[in-house]
Amino acid sequence: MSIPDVKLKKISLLNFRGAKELLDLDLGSDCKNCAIFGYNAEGKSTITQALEWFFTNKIAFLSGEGITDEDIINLASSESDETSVDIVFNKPSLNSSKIFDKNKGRHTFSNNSIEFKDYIDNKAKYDRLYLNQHTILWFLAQPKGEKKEQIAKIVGYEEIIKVKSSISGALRELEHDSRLADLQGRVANNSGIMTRQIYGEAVNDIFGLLLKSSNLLKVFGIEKELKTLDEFDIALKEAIQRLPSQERAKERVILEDLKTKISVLEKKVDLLFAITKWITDFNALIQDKESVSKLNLDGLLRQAEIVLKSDLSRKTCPLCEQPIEDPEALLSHLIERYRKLIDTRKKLSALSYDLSKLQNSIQQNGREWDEALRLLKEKRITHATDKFQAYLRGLNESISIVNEHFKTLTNVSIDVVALEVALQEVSVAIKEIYPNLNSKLSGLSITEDEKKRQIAFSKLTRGKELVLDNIKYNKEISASKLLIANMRQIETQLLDLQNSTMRKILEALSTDVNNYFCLLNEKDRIKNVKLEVVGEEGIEFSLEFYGVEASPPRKFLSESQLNSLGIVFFLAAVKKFNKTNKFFILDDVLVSFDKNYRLRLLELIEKEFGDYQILLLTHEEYWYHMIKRKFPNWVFKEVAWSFENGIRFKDTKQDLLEDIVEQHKKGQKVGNELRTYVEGLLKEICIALEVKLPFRLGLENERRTIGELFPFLTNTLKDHQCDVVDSKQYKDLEVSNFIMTASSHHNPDLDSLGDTDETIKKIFEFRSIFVCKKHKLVSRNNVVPGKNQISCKCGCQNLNWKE
Amino acid sequence: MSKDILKTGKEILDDYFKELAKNQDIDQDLRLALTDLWEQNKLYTRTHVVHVLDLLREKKSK
Repeated sequence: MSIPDVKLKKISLLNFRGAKELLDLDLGSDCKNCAIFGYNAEGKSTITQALEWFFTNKIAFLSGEGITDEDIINLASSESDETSVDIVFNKPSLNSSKIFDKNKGRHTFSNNSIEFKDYIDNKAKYDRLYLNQHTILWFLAQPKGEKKEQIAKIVGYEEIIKVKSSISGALRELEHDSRLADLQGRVANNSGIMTRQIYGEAVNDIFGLLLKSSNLLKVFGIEKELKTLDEFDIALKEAIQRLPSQERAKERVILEDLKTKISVLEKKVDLLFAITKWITDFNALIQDKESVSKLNLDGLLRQAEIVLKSDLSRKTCPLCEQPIEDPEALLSHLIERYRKLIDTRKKLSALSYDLSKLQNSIQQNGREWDEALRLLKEKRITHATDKFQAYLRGLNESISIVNEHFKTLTNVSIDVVALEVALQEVSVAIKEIYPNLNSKLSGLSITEDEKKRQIAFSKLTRGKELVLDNIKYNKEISASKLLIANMRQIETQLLDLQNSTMRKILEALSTDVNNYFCLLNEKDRIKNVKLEVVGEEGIEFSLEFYGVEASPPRKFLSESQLNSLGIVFFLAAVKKFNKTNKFFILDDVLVSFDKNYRLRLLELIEKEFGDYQILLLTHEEYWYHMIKRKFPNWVFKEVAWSFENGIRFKDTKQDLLEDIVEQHKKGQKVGNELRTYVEGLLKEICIALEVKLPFRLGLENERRTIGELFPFLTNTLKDHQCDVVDSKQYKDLEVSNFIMTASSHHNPDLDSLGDTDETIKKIFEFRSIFVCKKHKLVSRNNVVPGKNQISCKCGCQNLNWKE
Repeated sequence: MSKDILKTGKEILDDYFKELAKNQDIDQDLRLALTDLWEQNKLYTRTHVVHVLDLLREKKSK
């Protein structure tokens, strides 16, 4: 951490915003404070903007639609003119120009040193360097969340928020990872299987697996306490040897299969009836010999029908060319014959299809019987082979005969009786196979003991697979859970860090904000001004207003009080958080401030920021003159702007009265300026000597005239036996035409009085009673010890004063 | 050094990660990985953190 010590010696602007020509603000080798006066739109804020651009590369209010980087360039400058801001610091190694390259649309610094880069990019990054009215109002009006964000930015606290947020984001992703849920689901499923089907409970480690497996192995006569997975694998190999014979199991499967096949074939033995039914239908159809023999005439009949339909007047038959008497009767006859032929053709087609199906079924049936008979023979199962062969041969011969007759469309005749006998015999033969087959199967069944081994073996292998899977899954789940738990811990730590840092910031700020605010508003009943965390994500000012908790402050405070709250917040932030720079700018920050407020602000600056370099910019002449009187050693500048020349500093004197003298010498009318000056001077004297005046509200108090102030000042001086009241310097001004006229007229024409030189001389002499050569006022705050006297702050000017 | 001036967010985080690197309550791999990310300026977005967590989970699942 470093102590802020960087100050400004000189700021030079060239073609920057309102500054067309070179505008030098020379603050001297001792980095003096400075007050700059200029009416609105005369360009004084250009100085602030130049610093803002120098340090941040942007100008906050110059953002949004239609605004580009080039808008920092002076409008009246030519293409070739360079735009730059040059700063000379109290540390020469930091001196640099920042130049805007119009062609490339980017800036460069003339100082390329590492020290300067570190200063501009890091060290000065979070320093609060300027405050303007816009920022004050904007900040005060922001919602509590935005206030927190803004405060966070002061110290780079948002870096903590960002880091915490990325940790939280990654943690949420880890917590909601679908793989984790999937693994947990698999583990639960595997555990369920282990509980229901294998072990009666979930086993999730090697020890449990070995213990349970040791028990299961006992079924195989293997009495061993397993200690490792290798031992388990060896025991499994041993168990395999003691399982029921694999050959017997295979044989049993084959015979079971054969039994099923035979039962299926048994249901198909009535194929014979399908043949006889087909023969009956076929023979019935071919009874109509004429239809069958003339099937090929259908085409001819169809053509004759078409010819007749197209010409019913014809006298001859279209087929035989014989004369006809009634063409319509012939047409009806032709149609009748054609339909009959078509009907016969359809029936024949259906019979052909059925025959084809029948033929396929008989062939398939034959193949299946051949396979079954082969297996029966191979497995030596007694059966009546000849009966099956006779049956199958009968079927094949029958279908062959049917085929022949179908081709020639002649009547079919087969020995149906012989076939029915064969069918009956084969049905009996099938029934005889089952007892033989069942007897063979019973010889192949496994014992209860063998069944137990088979079940145990299955549990051993399946259980091992599930337990090992769960161990693997649990490992990944544990890894995720460990990371989640640790990340939660880190998240909590960062949240604590975030909150404690914010608390520290708020505490640090609140102390100063309250002190400064109470200094500015000493007579208001406002106490305990602080910044507080509101809800989870917000920050708001709170204060006691006449004993009542008040938040947000804008509900209760006046415009000027709110304004002072914004100013003191900035000043507190400067004091607490500026790391490198020991200067700041207050750019036209006063709104509705009365004289007392202004004076207190100057006193606050003097008291708390005496070692800072301050640049005060204002458009209020009265405030400017007050600063001049209060801090005569500051640099004072007045700005004026024209399109042709841009911003320029006017020549000004340190002393306002000297300034008026200069104007008078130039022949300008200064009556009004003199009245304002004397009025201001009297007010300051009255404050310093605590002159009691009748109570007035608000601005009415501000508007007291020379005629009101002078008598009360005189009375107070007399009350305290201050002899100056009788001095020539005092009387000369008190009874002067100038004072009489200024006191008795609302809008006096003081320039018509003549003898302005004399009036100025009287004012100088009057002032010298109360103001020392170092421009410090004699004040009741500075009592000279042991004497009935009061003095100026530096002690070089005294007044007799009796309390 | 002025005692009035508070640390910046970066300074506060620097201190935090120095402490984290020594925190025995947190898994060693995790704290070292996060400290590394902080030193490499990669902790401001979660992408790198998520990647590191994936690698650590894989490593610890073996």
